[in-house]
Amino acid sequence: MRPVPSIFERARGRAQASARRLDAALEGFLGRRPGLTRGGLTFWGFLVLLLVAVLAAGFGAAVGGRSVEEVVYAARDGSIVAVEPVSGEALTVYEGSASEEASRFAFVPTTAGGLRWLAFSVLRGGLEEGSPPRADLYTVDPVRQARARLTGAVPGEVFTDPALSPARSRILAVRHESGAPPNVAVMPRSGSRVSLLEPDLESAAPILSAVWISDDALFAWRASSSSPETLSLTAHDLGERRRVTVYETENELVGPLSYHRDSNTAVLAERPRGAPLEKARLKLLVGDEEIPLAGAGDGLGLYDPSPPTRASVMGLDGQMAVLWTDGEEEWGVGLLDPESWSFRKTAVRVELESRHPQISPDGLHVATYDEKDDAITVRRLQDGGLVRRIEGAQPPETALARLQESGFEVPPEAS
Amino acid sequence: MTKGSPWRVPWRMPWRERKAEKGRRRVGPRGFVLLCAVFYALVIGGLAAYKHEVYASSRFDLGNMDQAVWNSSQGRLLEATDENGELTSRLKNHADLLLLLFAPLYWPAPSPHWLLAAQAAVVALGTVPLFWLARRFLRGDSQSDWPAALIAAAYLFNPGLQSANLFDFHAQTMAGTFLLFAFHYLLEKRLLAFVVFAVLAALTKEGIVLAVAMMGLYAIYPLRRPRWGAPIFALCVGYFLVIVLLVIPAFNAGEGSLLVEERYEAFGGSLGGVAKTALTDPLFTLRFVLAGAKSAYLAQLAAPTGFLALLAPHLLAIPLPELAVNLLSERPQMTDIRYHYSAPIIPFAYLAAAAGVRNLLRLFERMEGSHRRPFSWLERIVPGKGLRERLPLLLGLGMLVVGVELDYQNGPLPLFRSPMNDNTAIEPAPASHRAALDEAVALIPIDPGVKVSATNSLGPHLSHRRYLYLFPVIEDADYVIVDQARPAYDTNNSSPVLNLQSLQRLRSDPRYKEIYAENGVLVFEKMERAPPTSA
Repeated sequence: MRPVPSIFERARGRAQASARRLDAALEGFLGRRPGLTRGGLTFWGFLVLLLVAVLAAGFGAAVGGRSVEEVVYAARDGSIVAVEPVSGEALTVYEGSASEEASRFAFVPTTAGGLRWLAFSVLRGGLEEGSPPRADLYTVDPVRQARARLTGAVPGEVFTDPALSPARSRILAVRHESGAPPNVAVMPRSGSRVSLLEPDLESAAPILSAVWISDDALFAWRASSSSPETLSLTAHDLGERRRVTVYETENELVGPLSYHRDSNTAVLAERPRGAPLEKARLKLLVGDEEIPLAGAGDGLGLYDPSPPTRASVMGLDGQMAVLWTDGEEEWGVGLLDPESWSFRKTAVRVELESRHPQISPDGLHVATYDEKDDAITVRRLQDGGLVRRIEGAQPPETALARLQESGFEVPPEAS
Repeated sequence: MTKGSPWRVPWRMPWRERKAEKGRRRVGPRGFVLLCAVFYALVIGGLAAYKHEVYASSRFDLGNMDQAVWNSSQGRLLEATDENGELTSRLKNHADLLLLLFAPLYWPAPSPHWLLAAQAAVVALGTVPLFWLARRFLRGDSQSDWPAALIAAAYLFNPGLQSANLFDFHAQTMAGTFLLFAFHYLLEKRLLAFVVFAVLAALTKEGIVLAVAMMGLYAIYPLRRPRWGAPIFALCVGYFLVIVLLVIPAFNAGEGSLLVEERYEAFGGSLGGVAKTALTDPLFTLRFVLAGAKSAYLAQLAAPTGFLALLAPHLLAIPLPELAVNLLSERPQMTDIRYHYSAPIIPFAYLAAAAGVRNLLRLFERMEGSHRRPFSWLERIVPGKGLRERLPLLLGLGMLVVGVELDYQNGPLPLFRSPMNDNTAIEPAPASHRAALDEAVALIPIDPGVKVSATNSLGPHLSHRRYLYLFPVIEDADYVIVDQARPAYDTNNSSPVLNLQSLQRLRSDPRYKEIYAENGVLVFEKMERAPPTSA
């Protein structure tokens, strides 16, 4: 009987000899056919080059695709349009209707692009008696130009102000229903399993709006049931069903709450009810602690904090655009750094009573909404130069006004 | 060499001789590698220290390592307070026994800076064996010196390595250097030196010993030294099994590590489950390790070498067990090169790239031997010595350039473009906030018997005590210190809400009094403190 190592030794030797023979045969074969070898090598080279070119083109399209720097807005006819501010190239994400009878209204954040995924809702009906309005939720991938309807709202059910979570795994939206206070609905991006933030809200205070903290937590603004003029900001943990009140105010909010995750800073603007915009002031909440804002000076009206820029934007990591006014002549865009809790003015000056600033993902442009002319203006952040003026935007309060006309309970704070 | 100072060239020397003398004194490839290593150690070591001083380091994983070493220096080997507030041993989850070597340094001066400095220095030192090995695998002659030096320098610019180095402290991050030294001495047939570095590598974490086991297989084939290879393999696998099946369960009441259970849930949550699934359902295993982000992870490992590493798979086989450990895990950080999990794998990618260059050259040589000159058009563009002679240098230079570019785009260095805000980034808090943090930390007694609950970024500044809870775990803490700007262990989950709720409860707890509140930093003191237990 052969010893085991010897068997292995022989097997290994045979395997090596076979490999050598195969190699020599291949060598000989190719050597006898120089044309084939040269042709094969050239073909292989071109194939690799082609593969590299295709990959590079695909990568370029994904990174620099058409949605990257676009301004997305709702047009007067209910269409949702994405416009590339420099070239002016426009893409209709959702087709509205020219007929006033069938006029649709879209709830979409006017945003300076950067959203690989965008959520919006479209309001239909409600003009005639017996046809209660309804608003479905949609998501769209502007790069691939793919659109999907997430929910099929029943008549009388309206989803507004949808927002994707930071990791885009979930969507929240304010849910209006005739005869019930507004609530916040949360669902996975697939749209299945819609759950309400407060399942038994009937007797409680309405939830007016919500902003994501993480994929499993959010801030919500609620009206007080005892004192209708008091608003409270609550933080919710969706997984563990925790809720904690962070802040309360009797003032009127000016613009949405903006949350910066890395510094755990929530920024909101408020003013005394009925006061002009120059009376608006920013509040910085770190946890439940109010932090003073440096660099703003006294008497400057500050409002409408934008969502924080992405960390990848050089020099603007996490900063928010904020509108400022001295109350007399000047209105402009400033930058708030939630990491250092400081504010500085930029060179950008805007039209009187402009609203809703948004910084483009590359940090070069800022878009604002001109309420007087229903137009969106895009300016260079560095020197304030006008890049484009987009006319015919839908005023943000249009759709909520339609809801009120249809008999829905829409608290004044909701707008 | 002329007499006198080695750096001065005598003026009387003829011009040509003087030029030649200066040329000889220029930094050669060895000097270049050493220079890079020293520069890396100073920069990264300095940044790691700075990161800690500006409260950008974390309780997990600097505070817990520091606490384990401090406890070891006090006679309580590898003891630390875990996330749940219980006193446990590091051996409950990992066998990073290398930490014990730092304990004597804590006797004269207990400080986490020992760990941070050692980690940067050891990682930097990895360029030396990498240079030796790359030179050997390129061709081993003097023409291989500069290409090997460039590849070794490119390794230091790997954004993943730098990020792992700046993410607090993990003994595993140093494993790559020890493994390279061990492999070098194995090839040099210096058994004692091999054993020393193999043991150091094995002490960094239990799984690393499997890479040494692979070196045992390498010794059997292709080195054909089964008398070394077989015992190395057997001893390493034996050590791994003893640690995983006996030692770690002994610290978990007979059960396996909870980390293994969490990370390998798809495979039954145990070592046996992983082995069984891999054998009985290899297709599932393959799909699992190539799914989604995991394919991108493999590309992240190979891309900095221009994918040349793929041309020498026999060298990539050495860190294969560690790669499998990462790919089979469900923890996303394990398939992200910016974390310590990949640090033992990265150097072998560069080593394989050097061997890949050599394989490419062999292919060219064979084609030239059969009178086929591939890329002869390229040789017309690169005249003189010809493409083949210059190819290693060009590819080495290419790897360095790609490394610097990738580092600029994705690395953690402050002057570079750092797109991700994560544990590896250095983001100092504003000066006013840091001043508040300094004041708050100063209020906590140094007495190691005082129990403290602290948020994640404050933990490493208070870890020289037996009981250091991670807020919101408070237990019987004498002091609670909270930084509201960085409240959570991981802000990607919802713990900010839990922390807020815990904080509000603490405010209304009559047993605690708020003694400091400034700039979002809060300190609470227990009103009736028990006398400190002896440390």
